[in-house]
Amino acid sequence: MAVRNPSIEELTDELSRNAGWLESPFEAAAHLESLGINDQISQEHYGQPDVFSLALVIAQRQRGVDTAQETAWEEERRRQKEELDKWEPPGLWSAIPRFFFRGVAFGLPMAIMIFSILLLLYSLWAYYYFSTARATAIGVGTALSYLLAGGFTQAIGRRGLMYLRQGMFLLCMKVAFFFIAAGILVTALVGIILYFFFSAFPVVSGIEKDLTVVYYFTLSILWLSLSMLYMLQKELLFSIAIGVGIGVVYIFREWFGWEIVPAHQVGILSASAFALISSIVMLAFLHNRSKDPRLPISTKLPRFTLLIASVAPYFLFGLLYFVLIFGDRIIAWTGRTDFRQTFIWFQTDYEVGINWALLGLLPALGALEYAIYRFSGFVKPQQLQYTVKEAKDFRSWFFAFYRRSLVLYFVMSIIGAVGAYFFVRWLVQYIPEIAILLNDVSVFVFIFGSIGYSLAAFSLLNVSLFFWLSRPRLAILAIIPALLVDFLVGFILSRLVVYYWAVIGFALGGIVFAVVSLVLALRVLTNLDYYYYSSV
Amino acid sequence: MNSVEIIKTFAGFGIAFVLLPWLILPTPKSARNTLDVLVINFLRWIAIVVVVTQVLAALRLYETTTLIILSVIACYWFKLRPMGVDREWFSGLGERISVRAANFGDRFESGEVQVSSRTRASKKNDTVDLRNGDKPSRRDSLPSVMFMLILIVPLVIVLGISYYLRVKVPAAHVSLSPSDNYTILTWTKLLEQNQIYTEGIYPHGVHAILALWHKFSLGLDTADLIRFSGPLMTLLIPIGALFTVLRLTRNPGAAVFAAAIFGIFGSRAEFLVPWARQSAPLPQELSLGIAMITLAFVAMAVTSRHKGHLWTVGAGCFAMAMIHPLPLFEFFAAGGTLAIGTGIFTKGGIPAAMKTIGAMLLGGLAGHIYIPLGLLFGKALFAGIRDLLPFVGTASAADAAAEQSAVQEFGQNAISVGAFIGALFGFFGGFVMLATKRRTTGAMMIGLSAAAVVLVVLFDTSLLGLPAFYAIRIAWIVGPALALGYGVGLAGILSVVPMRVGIARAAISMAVAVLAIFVFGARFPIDSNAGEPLRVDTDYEAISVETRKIMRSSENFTYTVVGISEQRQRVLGDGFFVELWVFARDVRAQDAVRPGYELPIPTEDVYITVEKHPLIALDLSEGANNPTNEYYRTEVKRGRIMAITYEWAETYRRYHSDMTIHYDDSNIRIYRIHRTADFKLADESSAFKDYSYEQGELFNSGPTIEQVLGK
Repeated sequence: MAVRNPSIEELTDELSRNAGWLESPFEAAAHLESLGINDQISQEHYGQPDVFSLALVIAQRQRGVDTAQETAWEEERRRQKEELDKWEPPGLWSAIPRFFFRGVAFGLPMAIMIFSILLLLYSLWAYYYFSTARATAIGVGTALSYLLAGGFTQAIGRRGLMYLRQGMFLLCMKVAFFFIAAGILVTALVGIILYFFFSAFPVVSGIEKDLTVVYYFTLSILWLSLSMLYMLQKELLFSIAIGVGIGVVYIFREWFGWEIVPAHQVGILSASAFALISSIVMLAFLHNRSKDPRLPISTKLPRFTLLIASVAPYFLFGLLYFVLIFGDRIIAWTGRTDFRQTFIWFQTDYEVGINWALLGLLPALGALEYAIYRFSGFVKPQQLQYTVKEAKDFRSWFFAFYRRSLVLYFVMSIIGAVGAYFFVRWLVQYIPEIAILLNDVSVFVFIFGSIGYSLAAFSLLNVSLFFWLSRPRLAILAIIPALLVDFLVGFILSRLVVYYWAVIGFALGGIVFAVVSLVLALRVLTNLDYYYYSSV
Repeated sequence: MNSVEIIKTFAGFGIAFVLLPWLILPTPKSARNTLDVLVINFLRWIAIVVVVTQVLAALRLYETTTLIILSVIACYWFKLRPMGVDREWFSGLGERISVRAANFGDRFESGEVQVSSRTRASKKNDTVDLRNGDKPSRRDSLPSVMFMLILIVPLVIVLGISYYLRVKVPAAHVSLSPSDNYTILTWTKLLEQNQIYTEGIYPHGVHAILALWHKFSLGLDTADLIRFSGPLMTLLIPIGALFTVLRLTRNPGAAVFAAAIFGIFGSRAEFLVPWARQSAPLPQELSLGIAMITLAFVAMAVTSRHKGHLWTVGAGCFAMAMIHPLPLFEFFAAGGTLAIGTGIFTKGGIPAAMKTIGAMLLGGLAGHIYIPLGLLFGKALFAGIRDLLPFVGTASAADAAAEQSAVQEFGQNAISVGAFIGALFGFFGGFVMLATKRRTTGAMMIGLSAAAVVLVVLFDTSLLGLPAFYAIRIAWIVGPALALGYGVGLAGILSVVPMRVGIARAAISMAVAVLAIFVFGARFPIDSNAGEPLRVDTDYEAISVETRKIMRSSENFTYTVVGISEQRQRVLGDGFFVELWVFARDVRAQDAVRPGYELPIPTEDVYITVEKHPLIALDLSEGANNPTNEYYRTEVKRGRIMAITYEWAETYRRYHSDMTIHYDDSNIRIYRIHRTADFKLADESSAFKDYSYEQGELFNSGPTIEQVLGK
């Protein structure tokens, strides 16, 4: 019995059922060829010179015949629903606590550290009884470790997340370890340079300069290791790693009677090991669990030069961001004061104030986390709901969302700052160590530090938008003027007036960062459809 | 150890005064060659440094970070921006780095791919000579190397000997001499700590220069910088003579000869300059060195009429005024004569000469701006300035009498006569140049010769009818400048050698110069003892050495030195200090015998210095009106202070285990107390904190240290 070729009506119905609405005759031609219809069949059975002519007839028929249209749109609606179901973000009431908790979890490690030092008088790298000279050396090492590791953290987050979302877990692990290894190498090289620099230029105590390099090195390893957990979005494990580290310090100090500095090193390296091992275990577990046959089991990393070029802007932003966060401290530690034993001299009251301001940021971080993830979660479903002609509505929706997030964020940051202020003042009566450290300078620094931190964190919302749309240049454009203002104002005020006025520079830098990033973000949101399309 | 310090001193100078101006200042359009560029930028840089340092210090912004930031901004503005480094360049920088990194990395990966980036059109019009087989001939390259050797080797030898003669005394002593050095040390350190005119208004130019120098001296102690910077600074005087003679006569041999006259033989008494001043970074000598260099640009401003030379002359005069104004008067006299003398024999030269003199006057006047500004901000004049101004007051009667007797020895001598004869030969040479159509050089030689004559006249200060105070100081600055007469004289003699002889001319010139140096040296041999007898030590060498050792072995501000003022100046900015007279006033014997007593000084280490034989460099017992003069510059009171301190220390040592003898010799003893300090006790105690002074109130009775030790 001969195979009967379907009629044009039947072909139109079949294409409408399978492909939905045909955007153009060329789409129809592609589908026809996939059904095995070629030029010869088109000529012999359909009286058309070739497949493209047949496709044109079918596309016109779909547009002209009501039943064909209905069938096509029914398929389109089915697909849209399927996509919407797949991309549906979690409900508001389940999202709020989840993301708020995640945001707060970002600040949990810091909270653990602060409470540890109040209870045990030491934490993972701090010790209540460090002399000022030693605290200076360690403080400088800590700040330097953040600067370098910040860039690598961004690189790991960018590239690792990309593979993670595609389900390529082994590749994710490879790229993360590549950047960790590169980070350790660069850290070691910089450490050698630092050693000679501190030997030639006594900016910190000559006796303590070795500790600067030691803490810089081990803390850099810690941040690099923790960045894997950050990439895997395991904030709780992040806190557990810190807790493990502090626990190890406790054991070596209290049980084995070790000195605080070696105990710190063992604790830091233990926390790093915990972070690395738990990241490896998680990725291996995910890899073994994944049954998607389309994904390769293992593959080579991209070429080295391409890898570097792809993450370079993100690395640069990470570096600049931590310069902004820590720059004011270094400026304050070198500012005008009654007594300074070395060029850089730790100022306890300044540190208390600035860390106090960080505490107040916790609720705002929750709002920030919520905004970032909800924003990225809504883009796909909103894109599906609006056609190209409705791009303006698409943009308007996100504008409204952005406005709501902004309000929420600033409300939470004010609540956080006020809450932190009264909470710590209340705590003073119960913990004398705080009373000793707290003074007018700390309050002054807290006020301006809160402004700076909340605005810098707000800017991260905008920066996340830029990164998500693969526009790191906008983030760098926003942060450079902030850095310039921070340094210029902070430097001059800390010299002309007094050291702790450096925090005003930080606050102004935060304002500039927020304003510039806001302007750029609004520009992006005004053309969100284009930026989203070009980022895919 | 000295070699390390000398290397650091040279390194600091190279970075601060050669590298930085090269990086920051634009290439002067008036420069004809690399030497001109170096010298012009050096002069302009000095003027910039003395101003910017003081302004920043007044604003409390003087520190390395500020200097680096300003240097980067200035380097970008004056150097990089004209080269096309702009915003577009920066925005493409990341891409260029990535492309280069990618191309570099691709060499090590398979499947090499060359990536190109957008390139900007080159602003330079590069042309390539495509002639084949056109190699430079051997004959062309060899003479230039020989030429450089002929020029450089004698020069290096002369300057090397000059430097050695200046550095050998400070190299042999850690303690500073003359005593002015301690004041310079203190003010330099205070300037680095953003404190200016703390003791009154006084030109801070040399201190500003030393402060910048110190920043780049690779961790050298400021006191050691003072020791080794002086010889280098005073080397500017023979270098100035060399440069001026070289540029104005175009005779390298004559230039080297001029450098050698004062560089090597300056210790001769005939120059009327205390040789010890050549080893110290004194403002007057530095200002004189700048004057010697700037003279060359006076003539060049007249002959070339380039505006850039006027700026250089103005900058030089500005710097001189900021450093020490006295050489300005000599400069105006000699420079004015040079300008007019050159202008007479230059077409259109007189108006140019007037402009140049105007630039000199303006620059010199502007350089005194610190005086009214300082007065405006409520500062008083420092005693040194008050003494300099005739309508305000003069030095002490003892000083005046000493100076009056010294001035009796002044007048023309063999060296000044020789300079005069040299000037005559210079005139001859100048006219020979004019006759042989080398008008520019001829005019400059005549001008220089006229200036040399003026200097010879000024040298006999008795002709000026000035008080001895001024006569001495003018002689100090005119004497070294006599070298110009010798330089222009030799150039005049050699003017008969034809120019077209080329490299041979340079060789002849150098040979004659070397011969002339030997002849001069035979007539006026170096006074090898010139430095030592004139050293005025205000502290024992051992005190300086041990104080330096304490500073080097201790962390900043973890120790306290109890001692004399020179130790305070050394320790300033590094450790704490208690004046010995305050210590002796406040300690009590009954405290020393109590085993539980703790000295209320809040540092872990305390070093107490005692002289067994008080060293009195200057006896200022008469009319002393400050604690330093009354307690340290009078033998009896100094002796009593030492006695009180010694007895207390010996008693304390008997009853306390935390005191040891840190150093002991026939002249001094240093005690060390090492313990965990009680900060609260020290804070609450009033001991050693009251520095108020009443003339004649303290140490009026009691045995001296020699009497105590003699018991």
